[in-house]
Formats: sequence, C-alpha cells, structure tokens
Amino acid sequence: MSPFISIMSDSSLATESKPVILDILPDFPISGPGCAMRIQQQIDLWLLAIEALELGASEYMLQTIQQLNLQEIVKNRIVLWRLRSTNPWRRSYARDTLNLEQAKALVIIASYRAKTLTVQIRQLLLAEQQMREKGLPVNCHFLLAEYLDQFRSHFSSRMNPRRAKVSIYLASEAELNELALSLLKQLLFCTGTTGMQRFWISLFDGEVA
Amino acid sequence: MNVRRQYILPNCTLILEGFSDISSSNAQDELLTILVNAECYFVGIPQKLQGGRTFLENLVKSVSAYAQEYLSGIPHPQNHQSSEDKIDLETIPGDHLHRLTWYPSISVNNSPVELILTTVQLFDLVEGIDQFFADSRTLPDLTLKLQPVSRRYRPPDEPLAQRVIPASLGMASLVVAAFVLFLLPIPQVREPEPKTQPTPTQPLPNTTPSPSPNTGSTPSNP
Repeated sequence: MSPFISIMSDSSLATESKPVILDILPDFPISGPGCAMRIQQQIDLWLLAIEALELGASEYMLQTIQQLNLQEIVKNRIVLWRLRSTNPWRRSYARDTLNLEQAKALVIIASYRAKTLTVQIRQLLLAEQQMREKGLPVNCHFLLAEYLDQFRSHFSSRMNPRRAKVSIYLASEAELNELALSLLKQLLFCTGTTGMQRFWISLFDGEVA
Repeated sequence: MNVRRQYILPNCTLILEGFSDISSSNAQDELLTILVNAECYFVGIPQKLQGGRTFLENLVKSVSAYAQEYLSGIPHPQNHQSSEDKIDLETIPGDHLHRLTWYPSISVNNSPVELILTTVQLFDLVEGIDQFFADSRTLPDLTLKLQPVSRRYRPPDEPLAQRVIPASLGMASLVVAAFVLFLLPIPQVREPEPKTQPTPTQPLPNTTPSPSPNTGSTPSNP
C-alpha cells in the first residue's frame, strides 16, 4: 500500500512544480531575458552531433523527455524543433531565445543521450587517434566516415549557408569534419560522472560577471 | 588502519592510499581521511605520477580547470597552485594532444615530468577525479567547486592581430602622408603689396533728389 501512495504523491508533486531534475544544474545570473546566442548555438550543435551518431536520434530524444518528466518544458517534437531553432546558424532561425529552464532541459537531454552512446563515442575517438598516428585522413576509417558523412549532411541541410561562418564550413569538408570531431570530444566529457554539470558550466564560461 | 581506494578507467588508474583517524568496524565504510600516497597511471605510458596531498590537490585543480577550458575554449587561469608538485596542462597545437607537465617536489626529482595524453586519456583522468569527488568515503574534506570563469577572461571575438590591422593602417598612412608633405617645398608667403587705387565707390553728394520736386513742379507752372 505504502509504495503506491508514495508514487501518487511523487507524480502530483511533479505536476505542480518544475521538474526536479533541473535542480541538478546550478543557476547563473545571465544578463538579458534569455541565454546568449553562443549557448543556444552550442547546445544545438551538440544535439546535431548526437543525431549523427545514431539513427532515429530525435525519437530517442523524445523518449528521454518522457522518461525524465521534461514534457512541461518540451511538450512535443515541434517544441523541441523550435527550441533548437534558437541556434542563429539554422535555416529556420526564429530569433527566439532560450530561457534557463529550456536550456537546462536541452543540456540534460543531450547528456542522457550521450551517456547511452559512450561506447560508440570512445570507439570513434580511438579510431581518430589511430588514423592520426598513421598519418591517414580521418575519413578513411569506415566508422568515422559514417559519422562524419551523417554530420555533414545534417549540417548542410539545416544550417543557413548565408551565414558567414556556416558558408566557411560548407565550403570545406575538412573544416566541417574537424567541427564534427571536436563536438564528439565534448560529448565524451559529457558521458562522465559530473559530465552534465561540466557541460552546463562550460556554457557560461566568459558569460558571467 | 590502512585504506586504499582505486578509481579504474580504461586508460587511467587513480590510486589513493592513506588511513582513517576514526576506527570503524566495517572496512567498506571506512573513511579515508589522511592521505599518504596518491598515484596515477596511464595505459601505455611507463612514467607514473605520484605524490602526497599537495600533489593530489594540484592535480585535481589543474585537470578539472583544463577540462572546463577544453569544453568552452576559454582559458581558466591557474595561479593558486603551490610551487611544490605543480601540474600544468596545455594543448599541443595542431596535434589534438595534451601535454601534462609535473614539477615534482625537490626531494624526489628535480626535472619536470612530461606526459603526452590523447583526449580519451585526458577524459579518463578527469573521470577518475570526478569519481573520487563523488565518493564520499574518500577525503570528504576535499571538495571541488566547478564555476564558470568571469567575462574578464573571455578572449575578444576577433583575434588581436585582426583588431590591430585597421589601427596600424591608419598610423602607417599618417606617417606616409607626413613624409610626403615633408618633402613638398614650403610655399613662399608673398606679402600683399599695397596698391594705390582710387576707392571704387564714393558716396555721391546727396543733392540730386532735392531739385527733383522743383523740376517736377516746373511743367505745372511754366
């Protein structure tokens, strides 16, 4: 009887207050109503790298939202898409800003997804290291090539080529590969014990007073 | 009673040895409160890092700060390390590798020890440290506060070299212009010669209007 009662009380609490999981990440005073553009851009790029890592990543993201009780902030896939469209590089850039709760929710989703992909991320980075040691181009490795191809195709289909930085990446396959690999390395740090917090705090480096 | 804690990751092992000042019946729950020796190994690197409490404190501070720096790309200043067992981390440019330099205390060795780490090895070291901090049974007095660095440390969006270009162009053109103008002969100033010319306008005597009523009146009475 008692476990049933406790479950009831948990769910009623969750509906009336903010999702408790958001408290894992500390609050920082930010100037202005929303997050800095750099933060929005970075979070979307991390999610883009996750999408390049696994097929059907957006479905898994929606499942993670359900599991973590984040539906209040990210109700459905359209809301998720709109939150990601706060990245100024996007074709569908909406000139919206993420508030702290929304940014936290996206970082938590990214971290949970990255944790499930730990083995894959490590494999890819070890492969990268091997290729560099041998002096071979990184996309000669079949696993790496698959990830890099996926990342490049997601990037070119979703980012606005009229943005100067995007057009530089789109013009050079090597530069875009480097971006994909640096995002992969950041995701590796996200898979650790304190990874989510490290990830979140790094977003505010140079943004706080 | 001796206590030994190991944090084993695929590429890195962190071993902390010490003892507890509070005796407990259960060896599993025993707190490690006094650190005697800390060791850190990497797979494939023969050199190991080893030291006492100062070494461990320096290691966790610099590794943690470097990890944050690596994630955000914004430098975290490290000026609060004691000179003994100092640990520095830096990126080797263009190589995707990280250089860890340990300056061992004088009693052990004089020359600094350098390890070249890949990003995966670096991550395993960070993870070993994070697991140690998450473990409340090991050195509970040692804590790590992760914090973002202030706006002061944020590098400008454009590199210094690019920001200097417009200013230096301006200065250079000023110098060139000054030099060219210096070469030009100084124009001779010719004093204006005084000329004797009759003044073009002279006020006419104001006598003409006065006869006009007389002339106008003459036809009326001839």
